[in-house]
Amino acid sequence: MKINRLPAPTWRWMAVNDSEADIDAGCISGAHRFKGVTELSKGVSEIGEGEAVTFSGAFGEEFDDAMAAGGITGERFAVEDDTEVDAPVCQEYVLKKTGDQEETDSKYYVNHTGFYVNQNSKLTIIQFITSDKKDEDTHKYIMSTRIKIGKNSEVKLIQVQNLCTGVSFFNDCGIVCDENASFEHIQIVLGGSRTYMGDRCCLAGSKSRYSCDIAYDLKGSHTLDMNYIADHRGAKTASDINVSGVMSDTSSKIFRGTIDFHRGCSAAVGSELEDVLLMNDGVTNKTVPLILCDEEDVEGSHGASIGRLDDNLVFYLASRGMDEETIYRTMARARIDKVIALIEDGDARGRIEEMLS
Amino acid sequence: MDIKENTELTENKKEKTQVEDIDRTIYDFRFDDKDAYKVKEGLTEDIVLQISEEKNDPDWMRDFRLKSLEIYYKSDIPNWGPSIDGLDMDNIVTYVRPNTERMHTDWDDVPEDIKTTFDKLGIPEAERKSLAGVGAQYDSEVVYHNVRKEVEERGVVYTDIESALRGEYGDMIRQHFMKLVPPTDHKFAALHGAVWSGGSFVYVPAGVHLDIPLQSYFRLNAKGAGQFEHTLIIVEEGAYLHFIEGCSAPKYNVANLHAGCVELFVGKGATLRYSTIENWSKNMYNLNTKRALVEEDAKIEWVSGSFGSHVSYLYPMSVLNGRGARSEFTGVTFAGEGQDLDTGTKIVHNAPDTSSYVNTRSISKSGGVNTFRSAVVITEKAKGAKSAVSCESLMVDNISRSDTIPSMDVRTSDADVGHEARIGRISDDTVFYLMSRGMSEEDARATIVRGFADNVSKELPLEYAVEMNNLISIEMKGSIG
Repeated sequence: MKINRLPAPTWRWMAVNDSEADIDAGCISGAHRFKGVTELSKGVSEIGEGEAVTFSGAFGEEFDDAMAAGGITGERFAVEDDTEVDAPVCQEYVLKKTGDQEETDSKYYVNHTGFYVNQNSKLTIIQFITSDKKDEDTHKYIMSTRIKIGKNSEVKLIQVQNLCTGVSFFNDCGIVCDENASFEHIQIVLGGSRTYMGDRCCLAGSKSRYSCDIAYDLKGSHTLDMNYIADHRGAKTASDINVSGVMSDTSSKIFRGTIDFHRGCSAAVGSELEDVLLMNDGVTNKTVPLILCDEEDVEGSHGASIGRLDDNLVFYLASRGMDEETIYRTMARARIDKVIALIEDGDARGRIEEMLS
Repeated sequence: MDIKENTELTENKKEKTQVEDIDRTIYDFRFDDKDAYKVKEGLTEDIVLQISEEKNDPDWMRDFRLKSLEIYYKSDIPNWGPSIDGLDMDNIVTYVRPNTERMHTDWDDVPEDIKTTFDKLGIPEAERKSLAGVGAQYDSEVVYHNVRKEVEERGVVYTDIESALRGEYGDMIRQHFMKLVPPTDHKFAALHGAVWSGGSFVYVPAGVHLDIPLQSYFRLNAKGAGQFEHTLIIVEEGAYLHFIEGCSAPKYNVANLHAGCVELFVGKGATLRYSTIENWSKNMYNLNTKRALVEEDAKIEWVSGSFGSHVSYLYPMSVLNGRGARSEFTGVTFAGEGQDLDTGTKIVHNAPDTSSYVNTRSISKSGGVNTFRSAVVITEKAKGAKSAVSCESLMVDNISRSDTIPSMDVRTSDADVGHEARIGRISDDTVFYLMSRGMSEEDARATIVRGFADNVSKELPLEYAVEMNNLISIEMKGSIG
């Protein structure tokens, strides 16, 4: 199955137009269903299981069709009008092969979760996705999240992934924002073997906003495949995608970021920025930052900086007594810390610090 | 204010508040080609053999053409980029020999209609004033080729490639021909390999610094025809060359096709500046391939102005194969009504301490579609490589489109790769700032538009014939209202 397709393909020899995910579409219907442990906050109600995909995520149509054909349903949560949810909704996902899942032959584990936030409300969701032991490289964990944000509402989704070697993890998010709504996504990727992730945020309503801050630390032979799409449709919409990461050993990564200005999104503003620190040879880094523009009155920009540390910076820190290895470790950690600092919840920050130490 | 003064003022204001479409009427003339020799429309083995016989190809070239045809049939059309559904090879005439017995070295010997064509384009005048040599191709054949005696005496070879193929440079041509752009590269490279005709061969010996440019001009006069010229340039160690190419065609209501190929070999420590002013008519499918192989401490400078064609696929590529090799790419693309121009560049850093710099501007108006597409590849061997890509796009109205599709593939930690792109319209703040300094709004907008492309237009060859500078002047006269 092809997922994470570029909205506008390019030369095939660059091998960035999409990714061939080792997911058999027909097997999704027989997949184990897994749920997280959710601590609901006051103001958030569970509204029962519902159909998975009502609008697209980053993985694309083939994935959406497979989920629909598989009859995948999942938990759905709602926040009513005029509700500022004080405490974050905390969800804990431990990816494993045994436990609550039914014993079937399937190697697939699927979760779908929907959040529906009505007007003038505010919600923060914190998800920790972990695994407790090394996988045998055969099982696939698929998480599909859909969020519908009503007028003037704000949703922040924080996802922290710390998976063991061998785990294949697919994390697809689809978001629709109404007028003056905002979606903020913070993702921290600390482990796992093969991770595919992405957002498609449709800024349907005027003045809606999307921001995405991602930090990753790839080691070993970890692969990370990303696809982030800011779909500007309403006027005066804004998007800001920031990706900051470190790559070591023989890890590989592809980042696709698309700012798509559709006709009618006048006065929209979009920016994307990627900063990748490569720690050694042997890594494979691919970056594809797209701006697609069908509207005159917009401002779009992207920037990417890939490679080693600036020589002047290294010299400065070395002159302060740091050896080169320490300098690189410090600067690598700084890239992750920058995103951690955006998380207001102290408990979550503390837990991430423990994972890093 | 009287009526006349008011009218003049209105006209000036109108001139300065519109970005006029490129005025192509000076290029849109044509001559009857009834006396020309043409192969049948379409693409078959018989047609390829006819062309080969017409060219008096050596056996290896004939076999090469046939092999390329096989590859063409097996290759598929790209699944990215502008649609080329309007291009039907069954309706394209791949070879048109104009009504001239042979190639000439004196303009007075060139048949009248062909000479008039190039006169109108300013080529003989440019040659007299400021060029070291000129090659002029009309449809499928080079009709004029000349190089200054003092340039020849320095060992520089500038001739049509077919003469070179049959003469003393035959072995050199064979060693290099379609080695940098093999027929397997893509479908239209294979097409080129099968039906190529015309083009230039340039050889600059080691240490020779040619201060004055050489120029080739390509004119496609025949309706429904294709032009498939091949340009091969070898610049030896420590040499310098500036090569300019230009092109145009009259507009027809059927498709024309340009699938040329340019292969550049830049030797150790040499510099080659390759400037192109592309001004094909709006019925042209421009599927051109250009590639440079750059050796140790050598440099390739691409200067590219794309103003014409209905559909363009154009991505000059640099392969930096020696330590310290460098590539600079400066480009401007102007897409107006009925145009879908997909342009950009590709750079492969395959050696240590290589560097590349890309600076492009694009303007979209009147429903034109502009796509900037790039690829920067840094291989494991390219330690110490540096690359910077900057792309700016200006949308002039709300019916046009501009896309930026860059990609980077980095395989070593010891590299510095940066990319930035911006897209937008003229900033109201900038207009306000200039107006606060005493400019009228019209002048402020005109200044901004000129400034937008200035860092590219100043790199373009001023000594080129009237054509290029007229295009820029016409474009820069207006500002956005």
